[in-house]
Amino acid sequence: MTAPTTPPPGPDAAPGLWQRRAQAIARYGALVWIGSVMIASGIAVWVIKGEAAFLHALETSLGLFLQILPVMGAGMVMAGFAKSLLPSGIVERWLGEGSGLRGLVIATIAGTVTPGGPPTAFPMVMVLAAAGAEKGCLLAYITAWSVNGVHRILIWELPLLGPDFSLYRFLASLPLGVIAGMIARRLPLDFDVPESARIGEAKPPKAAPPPVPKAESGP
Amino acid sequence: MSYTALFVWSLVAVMGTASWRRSEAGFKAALRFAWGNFKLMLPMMALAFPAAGFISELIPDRMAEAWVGRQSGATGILLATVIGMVTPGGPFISFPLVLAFLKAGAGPAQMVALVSAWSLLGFHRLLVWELPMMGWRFVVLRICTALALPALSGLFAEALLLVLRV
Repeated sequence: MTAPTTPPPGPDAAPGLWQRRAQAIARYGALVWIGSVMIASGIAVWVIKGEAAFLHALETSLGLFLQILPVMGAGMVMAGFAKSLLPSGIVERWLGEGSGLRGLVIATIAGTVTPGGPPTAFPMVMVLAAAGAEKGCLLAYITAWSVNGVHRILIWELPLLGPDFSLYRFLASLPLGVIAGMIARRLPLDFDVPESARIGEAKPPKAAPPPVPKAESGP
Repeated sequence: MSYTALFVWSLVAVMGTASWRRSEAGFKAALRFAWGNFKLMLPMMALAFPAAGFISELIPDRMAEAWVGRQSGATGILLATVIGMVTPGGPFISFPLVLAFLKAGAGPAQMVALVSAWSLLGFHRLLVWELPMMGWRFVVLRICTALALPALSGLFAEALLLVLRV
């Protein structure tokens, strides 16, 4: 699926522009956003509930933070390894036009096991789209990743909410990927794969037109 | 160290061995990827955890039970959907919030709808990630696809409750 000169896909295959863009968004957008949410809610707690409640909330969240940190570190490393181990070309083959219900199921499974946050998953959608996956499968993929990404469940939901609730919610949300794909296939909407998304190992949507042969019949 | 941490770190060890045996360069690149992400996340987490703590402090106890409790039914599912949509931030905010809600008496099916709404239709994720990365046409397609899904997952969850009788 790749040009013969392309090096084997490593974890750095996708990023490039995407990673820089994602990092810029993450750093400035999210940091400012979270910072202002924290300050506003902190002031609100101090004013409404007093200093004791403020300090209590701060202490509890610090404990939670320290508890999450080692798991989060593991998750990051795991995401890196998963990227380096993911067989390229296998997922894409199953998700094209005419893949039917089977394509949606496979896309749901692929989305569920895709590790990482938005900076990993959204570039994957573009990589898959550029490699020829159709609309329904792409939406099934991103929906399944959004509601049931195992990576997020392991890092966040399991430690915070416990195995009972995590499993219960996983089962209740399991059909959403396939349903999303079926809805998407019926919607008269489409989207373009931005030029910038055709990155790394992604194959252009159609075979490159053969180079125009130098005409012998020139004057 | 929690059991979860032990579990994921043993998974890391297995995957790391596999990655190392396949290619040393790939292994190193995976570690660089992880470190880059970790550096990116750390300051956000440091701000997000206090934010989540403050927000859960602000949720009135009785409100959770009355509005999104077990008996709140479909209305509660819809309300939880709206709460999920406006919940800012990543999993570091939403899951502690769900924990706070559950402790305050919210129903599990309603919380399933909340998590679905947050992950599929959360304004924050749409604005911060999806729109800049994917463009508005994709965002419109995805919103149209996902509109009914949170309520649907809430109903599935109610049905599961009946089956499991918990």
